[in-house]
Amino acid sequence: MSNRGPGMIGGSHGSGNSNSGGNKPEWLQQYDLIGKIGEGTYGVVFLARIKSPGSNRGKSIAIKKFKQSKDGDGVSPTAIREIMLLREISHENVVKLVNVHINHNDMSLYLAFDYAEHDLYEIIRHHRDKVNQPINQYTVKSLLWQLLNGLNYLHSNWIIHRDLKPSNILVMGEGEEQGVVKIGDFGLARIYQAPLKPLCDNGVVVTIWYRAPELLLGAKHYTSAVDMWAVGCIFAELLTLKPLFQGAEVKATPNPFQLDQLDKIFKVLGHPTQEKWPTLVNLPHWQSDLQNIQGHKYDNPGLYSVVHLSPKTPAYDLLSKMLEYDPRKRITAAQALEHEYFKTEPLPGRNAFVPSRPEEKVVNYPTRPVDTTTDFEGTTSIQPSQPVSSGNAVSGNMHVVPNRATGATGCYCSGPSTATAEEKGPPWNGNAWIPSTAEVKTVLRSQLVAGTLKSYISREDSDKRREIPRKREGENRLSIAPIIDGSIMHWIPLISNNEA
Amino acid sequence: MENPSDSSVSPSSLLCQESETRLDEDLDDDDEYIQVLLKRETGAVSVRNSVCLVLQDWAKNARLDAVDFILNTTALLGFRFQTAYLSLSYFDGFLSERIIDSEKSWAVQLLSVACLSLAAKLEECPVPILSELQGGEYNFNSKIIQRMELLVLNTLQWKLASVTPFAYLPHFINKFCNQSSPGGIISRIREHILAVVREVNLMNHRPSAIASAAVLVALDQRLTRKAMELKINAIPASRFLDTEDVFTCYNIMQRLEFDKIMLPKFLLSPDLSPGTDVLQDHSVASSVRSKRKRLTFNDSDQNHCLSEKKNHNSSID
Repeated sequence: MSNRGPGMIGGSHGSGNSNSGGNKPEWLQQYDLIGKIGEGTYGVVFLARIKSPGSNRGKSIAIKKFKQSKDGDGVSPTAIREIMLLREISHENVVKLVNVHINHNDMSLYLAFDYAEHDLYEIIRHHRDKVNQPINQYTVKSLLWQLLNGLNYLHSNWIIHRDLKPSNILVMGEGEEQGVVKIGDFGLARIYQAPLKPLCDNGVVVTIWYRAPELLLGAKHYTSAVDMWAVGCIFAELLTLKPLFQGAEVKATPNPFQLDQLDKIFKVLGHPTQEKWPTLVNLPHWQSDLQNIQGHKYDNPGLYSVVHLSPKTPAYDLLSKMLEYDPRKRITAAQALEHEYFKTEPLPGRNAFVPSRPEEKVVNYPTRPVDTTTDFEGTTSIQPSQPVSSGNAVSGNMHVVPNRATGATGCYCSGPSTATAEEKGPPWNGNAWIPSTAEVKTVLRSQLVAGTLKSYISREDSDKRREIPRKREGENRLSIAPIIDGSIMHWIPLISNNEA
Repeated sequence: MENPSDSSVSPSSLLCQESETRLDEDLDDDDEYIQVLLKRETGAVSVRNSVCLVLQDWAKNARLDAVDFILNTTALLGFRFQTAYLSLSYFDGFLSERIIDSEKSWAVQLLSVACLSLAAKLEECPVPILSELQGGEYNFNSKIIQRMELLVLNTLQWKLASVTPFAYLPHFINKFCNQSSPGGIISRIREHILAVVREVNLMNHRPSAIASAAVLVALDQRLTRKAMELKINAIPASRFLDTEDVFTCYNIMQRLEFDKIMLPKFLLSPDLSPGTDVLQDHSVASSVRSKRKRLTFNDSDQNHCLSEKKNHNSSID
């Protein structure tokens, strides 16, 4: 039993603990909070700026605060999945996780992302409601190409996004990465090897407008083709500024049959047939056909008239391949990137906002509305509020494909996925404590004595917490935390493996 | 709710929990896919080898307790094998980065609970509530478990997406059995894997090595090194397999199998302490098999820390 001297205690900047009054935790002190920019079932997203001097000073950061999980559930599975997935991926067209912070008092989790000023929801809305003209060809093509490029990266790492929609496709504002697309939000990310689960059990209502027909017909297993369907819907929306299949959602649990959404699809694309989609007959909702979808008659399909494209154009050809009924025949992200559409003028570029031809007008998109009345706790009110955007800075659902695509009616597969961790990893300075022996004993004692348990830890206790250093190279001896008050042994390590 | 007590379940009883058909369905293999898995694993292992873990006696026993706890609890709750394996890999990963002081047996148990909880959150549907994962000699407040989860997550840098040997089994069975696989081979393979996780630190062996060794030993327990190499070189994934590691795992499994035949059966129960009642152990195993219900069980097989047993069923919060 070795007792480390006081020199071994503390000294790390991560030990901030804001138990005393309104003091901010130290991690929070490195940011200037600007305000709230989004809110959803997952939690709240804030805009903040980095305070610290240096090259990052003033840089905008989106901070996503997870809603606390239910008492007794521990760290929320959603947060675990999202963070572990984000830790494994790194791509120019995928949102970048900069840091993970843990608030020690309530154990709430905060994710810091590079901030993206725009998203496709706001861009489309701006054109529809303010500019009153379509998005220029170059911008549409560049946005689509970059979206496919990010998606191809995800799919080749066995990750399905599963909830692509305009508000989840972010675009960088002014700066070095201006006009660069970032696929956002890994909210419901699923780990490799996890059993494939039906949509409903995530308990999150996602918009059905971008949902692939195989899912609407009750397919239990996802493939990356569901994302390509969504990309097709988004492509059409970029062209027309209107959602392509705007069905009315049936709100019921679990996972009700979305008749109206299918009806909207069939009206544009025509009735699916077994000839075109052989595995159609195996899909649960098609098979049971409680609402007689098989018997419905639909007029001649007219996708080209809806999107105002000549059937001979490469754009139409690509779109129709994304909206192929049979998921196995649907174009993949890799194939789409090679499509003729991207090889004809105007060629796609890195900055989707700046057209290649200087004579074309550059649209200045409005910045994201910020609600400056909300602080991280969601309480303080200082200034009059601005409306909060319905688009999410970093929201949406990612889903790891637990296996290679097996087709909508494929077998149950549970192989692991394989996102490769190429990146060095973000600077990591989340902190976590575990309770001291004294705390555990207190719990046990009170259990034995009273049969009930009180709050397991007092403020005084947590203020006295100290860390033990991480094990050093080659050190196999057992180490203990310093004795602080003569009787209470605190075993409260501090994590501070900063790589920044 | 009654807490599952310190029951002992033999690894073989675990084998009945997952139907073999599920694995069979996965048999569509894809060399490319397996190679991606292997590459990913190689990246992870190069880091691991630098922190080759040598456990002290105290820690070894603590690890065995953790293995028992994790296997018992996963069996009782009907979890997948991957969940148990992942929990243990988090456990070993944590201890290769941090040290737990020998006085804190509760910390080891807390670590086991937290690792199991994290693995279950990623693998199981529905996700169990924390109180279901209790079962050792201490009963932890859910806030304490949550703190430990955060500590584990941070220590592992949130990289929980490890490959497990089970991911490889359909592929290796298919490749190593030339035509048809012998009946019951899957349960024998699982038995080898569950036996070897008790013996080795999961940080020191690749999941692919454990998986291929388990398949090879289930097919033939008398392979020479040369014969084994021939078999490995015949499959497409061979260039990504670490033959040395496969052979090490093969030898350990072979030895464990030999011990099993030579030693009295009670020594094979998960708890190696002499106090284990063989009959009781078997009755537990069989009732788990048939009913998979919560079992109360006396604590005689736990020869330490009897003072603060959780005889109280009150939930902690």
